[in-house]
Amino acid sequence: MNMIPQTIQTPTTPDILAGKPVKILARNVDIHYGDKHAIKNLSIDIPDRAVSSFIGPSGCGKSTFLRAINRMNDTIPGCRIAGDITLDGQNIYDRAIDVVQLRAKVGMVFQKPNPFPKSVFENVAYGPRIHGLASNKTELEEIVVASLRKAGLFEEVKDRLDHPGTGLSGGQQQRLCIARAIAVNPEVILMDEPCSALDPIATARIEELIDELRQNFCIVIVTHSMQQAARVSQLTAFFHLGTLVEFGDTGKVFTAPRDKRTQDYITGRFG
Amino acid sequence: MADPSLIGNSAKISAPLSGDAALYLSARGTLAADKPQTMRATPQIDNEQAQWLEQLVQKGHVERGFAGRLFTSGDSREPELAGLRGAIAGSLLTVAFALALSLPLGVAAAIYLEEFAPKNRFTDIIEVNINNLAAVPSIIFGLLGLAVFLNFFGMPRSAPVAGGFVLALLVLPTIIIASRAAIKAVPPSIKEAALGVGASHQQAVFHHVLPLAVPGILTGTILGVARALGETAPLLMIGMVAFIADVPRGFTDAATVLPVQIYLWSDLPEVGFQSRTAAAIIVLLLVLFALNAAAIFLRRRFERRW
Ligand SMILES: Nc1ncnc2c1ncn2[C@@H]1O[C@H](COP(=O)(O)OP(=O)(O)O)[C@@H](O)[C@H]1O
Ligand SMILES: [Mg+2]
Repeated sequence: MNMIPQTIQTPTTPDILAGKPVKILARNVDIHYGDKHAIKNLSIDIPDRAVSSFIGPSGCGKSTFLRAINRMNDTIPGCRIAGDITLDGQNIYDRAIDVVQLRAKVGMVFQKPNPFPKSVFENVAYGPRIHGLASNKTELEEIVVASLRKAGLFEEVKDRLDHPGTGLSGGQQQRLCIARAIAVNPEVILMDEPCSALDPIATARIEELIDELRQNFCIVIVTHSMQQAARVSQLTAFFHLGTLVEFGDTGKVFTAPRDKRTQDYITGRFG
Repeated sequence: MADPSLIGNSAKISAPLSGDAALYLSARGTLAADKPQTMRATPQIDNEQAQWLEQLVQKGHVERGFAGRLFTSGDSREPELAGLRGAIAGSLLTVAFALALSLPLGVAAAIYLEEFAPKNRFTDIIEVNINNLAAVPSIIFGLLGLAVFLNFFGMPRSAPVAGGFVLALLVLPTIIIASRAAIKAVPPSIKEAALGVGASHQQAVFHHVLPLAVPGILTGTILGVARALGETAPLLMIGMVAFIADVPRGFTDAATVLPVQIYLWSDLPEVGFQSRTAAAIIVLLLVLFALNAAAIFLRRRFERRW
């Protein structure tokens, strides 16, 4: 595990990454669902404090790989993973790793907003509470308010922190889910098509937020919209049939893709 | 005598009309009193008694009223004195005992099977067996109770403990199946959300999934209780079918339950027990309606709020 190099040097290394610190590093990752080979020999270096987006036709394995990064696939019966994924050089599939701690460090925002059927406050307070991040009520309140602020939601909900989170609009619910993820001080935030259930205005709001969050977090976002990838991410990875075809500077992937398959996809020839 | 000063005074007392007398009076209009005794609907009332009754009616001493005694006294050989209090107490004790056993066990089994059990042949077999158990005729549970609880463990006959154990086994599959369905109905996204912020599997289940499943579990439990309340056959097997005049005070006292009381009364020759039986049936039906209504209310009230 310590033999894995910590500077960026995968075959698909984007130029702008040379010398940047790697946050998530994957080497020769294979993921199976029973007999189905969903991810094939994937290697990638994902930098810290930047937004990396995964694009590709549906069913190509974007979500599968994303969920491997916080070991969410562990909960799926029949899902097997081989290869190495490291976070800050630590193999996250190591026996010594506590999955619960890992998931606190690698937060996740899901496709469909999924607030707990509890109050707005409780939604955000749950994570800090189970991890013992606040020693008293005032501290907990501070964490909740700060998280809601960072998620750009505080002004809209400050008068109804005790109202059910499920009563907010779709876009607000998704920002609540982002606040909930931020509240446990993660280092990485994984987002799986976070805007696919939202209208354009709510989507724009989330995209703005993602751009702000990039200052402090390593963000990986799966999106089915190439425009969105172009707008929010610095790096883009193109997946096709379970393989990572190309990973690089977003501008380059969209204007001068190296691979024919990427070109076909972004010009709308398939997908 | 407790109060000697009462001697010599006259006091008003009332006593319930015997079943035969009541029947005689209600049939009076259609069947003339002067018919020969053996031809009347109530051959038990002889001509002299009939005359006394007529006199009482003329003086206005016979009143109709609600037979509150139905709820205040235990069983009796005399229909006018018999009440349901013993049977109601017996039903409460038995079902409470059954519930105290089967609810925690059933919910725990459901949580384990749904959330924690590995998927293998062994758990598959358990699952199939639970489903089959729900379809086993209840008399079989009675036989099991007789063989295991009474003969092997030596529990007291006719007692709510034994009945409680039998009914607990009877409703256990129902509660497990309903609880599993309720747990399964909680959207996986809620559990994923909890896991996503670093909750352990146990925390995700006990903090989020289970609370959302509670209404469903309660609905299933209420339906299980309704079934247990209405069961007769298995209790016959363990001797809860005896004539018991005393109201049971504990789980080991001899007792009977509502449906068995109905069965007992319906079998008695005295005409007065006909109306008692009808009244007892109405009481049982009302309780069952109320339980089912509560189950429906719960289901409606908590239907998919996420
Ligand atoms: N839980 C699962 N069980 C079996 N196969 C799955 C499961 N989840 C995804 N797959 C399969 O793995 C492949 C990749 O799926 P996914 O990662 O969800 O694709 P994407 O997010 O790119 O649309 C698909 O072919 C899908 O059918
Ligand atoms: Mg997906």
